[in-house]
Amino acid sequence: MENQNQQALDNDLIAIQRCLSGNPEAFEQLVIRYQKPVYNLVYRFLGNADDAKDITQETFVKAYQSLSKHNPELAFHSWLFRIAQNLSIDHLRWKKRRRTVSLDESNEETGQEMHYHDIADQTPDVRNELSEAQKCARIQTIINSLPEQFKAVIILRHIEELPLQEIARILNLPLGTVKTNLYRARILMREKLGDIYAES
Amino acid sequence: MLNHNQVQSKLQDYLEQALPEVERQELESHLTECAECRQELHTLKDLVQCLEALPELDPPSDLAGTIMARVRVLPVKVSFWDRVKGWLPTLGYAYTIGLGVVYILGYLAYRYISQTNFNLLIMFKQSVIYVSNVIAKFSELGFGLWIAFSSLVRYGLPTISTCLIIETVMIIGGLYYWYNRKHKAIHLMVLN
Repeated sequence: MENQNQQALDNDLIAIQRCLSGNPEAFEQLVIRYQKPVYNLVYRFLGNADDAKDITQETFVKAYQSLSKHNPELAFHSWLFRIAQNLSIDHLRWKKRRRTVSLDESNEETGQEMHYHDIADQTPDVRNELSEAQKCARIQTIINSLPEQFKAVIILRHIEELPLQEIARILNLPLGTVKTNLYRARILMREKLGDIYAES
Repeated sequence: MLNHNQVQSKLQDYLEQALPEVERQELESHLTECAECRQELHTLKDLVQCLEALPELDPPSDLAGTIMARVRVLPVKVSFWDRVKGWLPTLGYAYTIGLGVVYILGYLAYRYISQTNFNLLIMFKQSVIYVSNVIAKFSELGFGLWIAFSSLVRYGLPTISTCLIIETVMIIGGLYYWYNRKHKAIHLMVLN
């Protein structure tokens, strides 16, 4: 298993070198190998298939253009996840700004006091027992409402199933901070899911 | 006896299977007695299970094609230093071959001037010996190794093998030349 991982890492480095030597076709194997995990990461981050597709594209294009900056000490997929996570955060902030502006405009028209954050944090009142599928759908909604730093650790740890040390490298944070964020993220999620478990 | 705050923090490490054996046993013994903490663990485990059970999504089928269509028309941004590193193997070959030419020319010059009594040419011969065998050899060795390793990093084994073969030939040639220098120096004295 470890040998296979090492083989994959070596293959990534060879493909990168080929791209840097002027062979863009070598990038295709990297795209094919990592499009699924990157797409899933971005989808869980943004909660929207169209945005996930766009940001996954941007992630690979940005990675390709910056290949010479890739540090071989950081696995290519970790570097890719870092780019995907940063682009996803930028995209969320951009959307948030856009929606805040449009809501402000709409409030001026209606005279009602309403904030984007109220909408982002509002959670449907679940009182009935939920099926597993519904529970999972609800979990995605709760992931969407998590603060960025918590969302990142939850997705990388539980969706991508990466070890904590690798998450620390991807997020460029100390291991202790990653553990703390993970702890707080789980507590927050548990609180938001509280009503479901109270019922079940 | 553990309090609830301590248990909260330990439960996270317990879930990550990162709790030392002694603390794990202490926590498990607490969990058998405390229904509230047991419920807490159950909730967290359920949460983790639910997160890990989220379905893995397939990316759109045209995603890779769209990315590659964009990539093919884009240049890779390569820094100046990376471009220089890209030239290193070529520079290495040029340097090694160039040095070989200098050796051969030096040797031919020596053969030529050893048959004359012209002092200026004898001085030239001496400088060829020193440059070829002392300064050039050391710099060639250091530079050659540097080139060889940079070639290995960038282009893998075939390039470094070629580079090393050339280096080895050059070193053997240098040593042979160095060994013969003594005889040539004697010859120089005779000429002087």
